[in-house]
Amino acid sequence: LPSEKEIKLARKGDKNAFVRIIKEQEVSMYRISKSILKSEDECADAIQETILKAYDSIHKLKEVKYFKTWLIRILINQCSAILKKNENIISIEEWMMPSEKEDEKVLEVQEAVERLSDELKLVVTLYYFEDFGIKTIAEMAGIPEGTVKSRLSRARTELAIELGSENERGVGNVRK
Amino acid sequence: MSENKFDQKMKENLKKNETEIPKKVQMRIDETLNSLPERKKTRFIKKGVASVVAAVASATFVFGVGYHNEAMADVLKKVPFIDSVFKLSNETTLKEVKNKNMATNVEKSATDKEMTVQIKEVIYDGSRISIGYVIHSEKGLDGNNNPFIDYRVDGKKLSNYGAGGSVFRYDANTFMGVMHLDTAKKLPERFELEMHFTKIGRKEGNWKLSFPVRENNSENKTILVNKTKISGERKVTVEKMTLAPTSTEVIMELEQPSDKEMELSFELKNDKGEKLDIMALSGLGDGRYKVIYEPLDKETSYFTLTPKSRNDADTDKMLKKLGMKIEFR
Repeated sequence: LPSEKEIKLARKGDKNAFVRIIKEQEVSMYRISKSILKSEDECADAIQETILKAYDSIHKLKEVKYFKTWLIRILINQCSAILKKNENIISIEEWMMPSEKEDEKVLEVQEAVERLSDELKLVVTLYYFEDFGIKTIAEMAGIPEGTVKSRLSRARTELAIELGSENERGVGNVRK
Repeated sequence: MSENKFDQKMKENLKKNETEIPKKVQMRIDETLNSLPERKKTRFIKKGVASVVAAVASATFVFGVGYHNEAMADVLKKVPFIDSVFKLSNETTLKEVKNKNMATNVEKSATDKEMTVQIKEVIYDGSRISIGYVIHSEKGLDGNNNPFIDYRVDGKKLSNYGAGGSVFRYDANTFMGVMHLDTAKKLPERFELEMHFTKIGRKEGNWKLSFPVRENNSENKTILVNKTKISGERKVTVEKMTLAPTSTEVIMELEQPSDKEMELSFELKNDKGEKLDIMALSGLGDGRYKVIYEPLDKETSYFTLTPKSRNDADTDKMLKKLGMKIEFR
């Protein structure tokens, strides 16, 4: 997490401090946007808008300790807006390169996460990758805590099945 | 497996795998960060202020590294020809300066770490120095090219100054940048300015360039105001104002009782009521200050200068009495 001092400087209008704290969060921002959006272009759009919005309003951030939560909330809102806008558009990238993802050599756990439905993917990314608590995730995603819990529980079941079967395949077992 | 164990295993597994940001997304992030405008700040005169309050400039020095590349001529051939950075910048005042032929062309280059820095032009209007430069690398440049620069005037290290600017992309291998320098002390009419770039983006290096600068005040208009306003124990005197192409400079004196000293800012508005941003503020000693605002539209017939406190409506009401209208024509 960026130091409170850096966030305070950014809040006071220090552009360089703002750049530094965003650079520290860029991987998280990409990961979370990718859990909601399909194409790289959409992720780039959402992150760009988030940076500009955050820069415009960081002076209003009351508690520096909530900086990351605040930033991710802006990002999720941006992603949702893009998702809504592009509802009926199939992105060229997605259409042209459907098989590219399958060729990537990623850990099977990550593959399994990527196969989850969109609503589960976001909650799983925030919970497992970013270590946010259930209450915070509920606030950021704008859903009740109960929904976060039930989505996590569904995700756990789906991941367990997915990973279980993958493991079996991996060692050459045939399921009967 | 219990829920907790499952969660723990998931977290461990997922974190083993470092997410890599695709190049396309990374470039967009860096370019967005690079193009962020300088924050419009309200600057306050603080107790005992005697230094320039502006964008923080770097003070890192890297000595002893050769900065002239033997293959300089070859490198230079590869730098795209950019006629003027001022013209291509998004600052209207600099475009005007260029159109009026007020800027001096420089064309000085330094190469290190396979990166070339080229100074294109400079304008010094008597209160602020603006420099247009180009950064080029045959290897391509990512989005972060913010420079760290040390300055010397006639060989003497510049202290007590403020610097701020912006960089923007020209092509995949080239960035352009504009840097503004505000100094507390008035600089000589002619001097040699040395710009020593010690870091560009994340790359440390040694790019040292030196070139002559000459004051061009042909478009400046100085008004001797000498107007005083008193309210209670406070007194504000505006001595003079200089309207220059790249800035508006106000020299003023502020007197207030030491036990009731307040941090004040001075709001300058044109005749349309539009607020001009403060670009730099420096203490000249004995309660005298130099405040540099953004340039004032020459069509303005008058402007108003009003002291402001930090978000206190009642104090502002009292301070309004210290405000003054200054006729331009």
